[in-house]
Amino acid sequence: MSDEIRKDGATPGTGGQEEGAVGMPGAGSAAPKDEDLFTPQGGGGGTGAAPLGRPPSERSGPQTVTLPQVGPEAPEGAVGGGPGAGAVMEKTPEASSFRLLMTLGLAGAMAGILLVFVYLWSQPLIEAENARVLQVAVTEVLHGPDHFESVFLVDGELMTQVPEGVDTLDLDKVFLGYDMAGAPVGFAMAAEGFGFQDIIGLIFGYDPQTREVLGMKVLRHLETPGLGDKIVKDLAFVGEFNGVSAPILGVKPDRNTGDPAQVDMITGATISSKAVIKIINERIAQMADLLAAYEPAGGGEDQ
Amino acid sequence: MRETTAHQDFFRGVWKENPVLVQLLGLCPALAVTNTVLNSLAMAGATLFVLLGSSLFVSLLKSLIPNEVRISTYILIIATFVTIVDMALHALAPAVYGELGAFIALIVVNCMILGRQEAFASKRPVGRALLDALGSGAGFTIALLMMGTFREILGSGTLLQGTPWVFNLFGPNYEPWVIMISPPGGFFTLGFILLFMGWREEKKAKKREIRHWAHSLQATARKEAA
Repeated sequence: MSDEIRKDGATPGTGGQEEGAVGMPGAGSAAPKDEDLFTPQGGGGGTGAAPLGRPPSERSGPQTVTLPQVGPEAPEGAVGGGPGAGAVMEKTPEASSFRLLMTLGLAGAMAGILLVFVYLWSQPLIEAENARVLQVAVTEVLHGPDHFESVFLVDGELMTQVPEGVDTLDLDKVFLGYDMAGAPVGFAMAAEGFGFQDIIGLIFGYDPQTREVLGMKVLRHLETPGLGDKIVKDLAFVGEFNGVSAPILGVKPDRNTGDPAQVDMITGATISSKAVIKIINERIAQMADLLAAYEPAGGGEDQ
Repeated sequence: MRETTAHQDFFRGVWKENPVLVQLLGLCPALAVTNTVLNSLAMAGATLFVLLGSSLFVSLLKSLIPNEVRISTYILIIATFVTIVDMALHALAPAVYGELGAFIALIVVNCMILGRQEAFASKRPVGRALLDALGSGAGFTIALLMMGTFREILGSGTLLQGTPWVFNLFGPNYEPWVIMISPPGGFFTLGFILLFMGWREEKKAKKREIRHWAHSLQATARKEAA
């Protein structure tokens, strides 16, 4: 901490070394006296609350030498009969361990209680926002289905109704979208995997009958701003995933032969583009057979 | 302790002892999240909130906090406000929260905040502590906005990106200086701003020197005449 004190205190000096002697709060001239005052807390005595003295044992003199607040007005003993800094420090006994414990304990407890209330207030808002983001994302990658339902993966089988006693939060799930007539339009699946810097989380639409990816949206990533983040911002790249055959093949833009499985990678973001393609391919490889075999149990409920 | 006026308490932090540009404190957020004006504003706002909250409580509780555990208590108070701002931002502005990420939580270790508690709020009445916090917060905001504006204009060619008032400054054919919105751009920008500040300071000092010199010349001339 003495570092902070010193930095803070040394500031007027760094502002203009020459000023020290002219107009600044006497950092230089007060220095020798401050060594006796030891602590910013004791300085000047009598401003605001009573200075909380520190026992001399825990100080190491010269560290507060340049505190601006301890100006030349407060030389030792010049405060007259008032509670001179030095005097206070000698009389204040060291606080008892109990008091130290109580202070920290109470402060911690109060902070905890306060945070509980903030948490209770913010959590529903955050969850609602997450649900909204998911809703928007599913709608986007399935190109505006009328409604969609969650399909859970339980012991290698897809089902909309999970057995009793299974927490849906622990389950892998996909979203099955339906059009106005109640016919399935495709699945939306979330997937994640390593990108250039951190995990990329995305969601994509997939039609198991035609084996086509319908659309892709990156939900979270930490790719390089300006380069890797084009996987979100480059709409041409994002658009490539609308109706591409799986497994997807990433190619350089000038090598594209028009194959329906080819996606142009982004120049300058090759690793991020490859990562997106790999994440989607792996997820499809994992789920394709299950999805192709899945028979929707009728219209499904609105979500 | 040197007595200061309320005016001084507020304005000291704004420019003359600007936390970032003069004291060089709080550089981590200043370098990390100033790639757009919006991010800079959000970070500055969050920091100002934490600074105000912790200065208020440190100043209120200063006579109750034993000296031996004061730093830990300050940190506890600061961390509480940081957590509040973290949750609130997550709930109210998810997009900005996503951009700032871990740097909101890192406000805890912004030494500008702890510095203000130790050097000021722990010794002054509540009103003054709040004024000082406001001043330092304003100074921090100014510094971050300077960097954010500079970096966004060069790095993206836009202004106020991410808000409904976004300006596209150079048209569609502008090739952005991507480096300005990546971390090295932060260092470049800060370096240039500090260079400018130092250059101004030096010019001022030179002027003063010349004035002194002129005075002493006059004095000698007078002496010789006499």
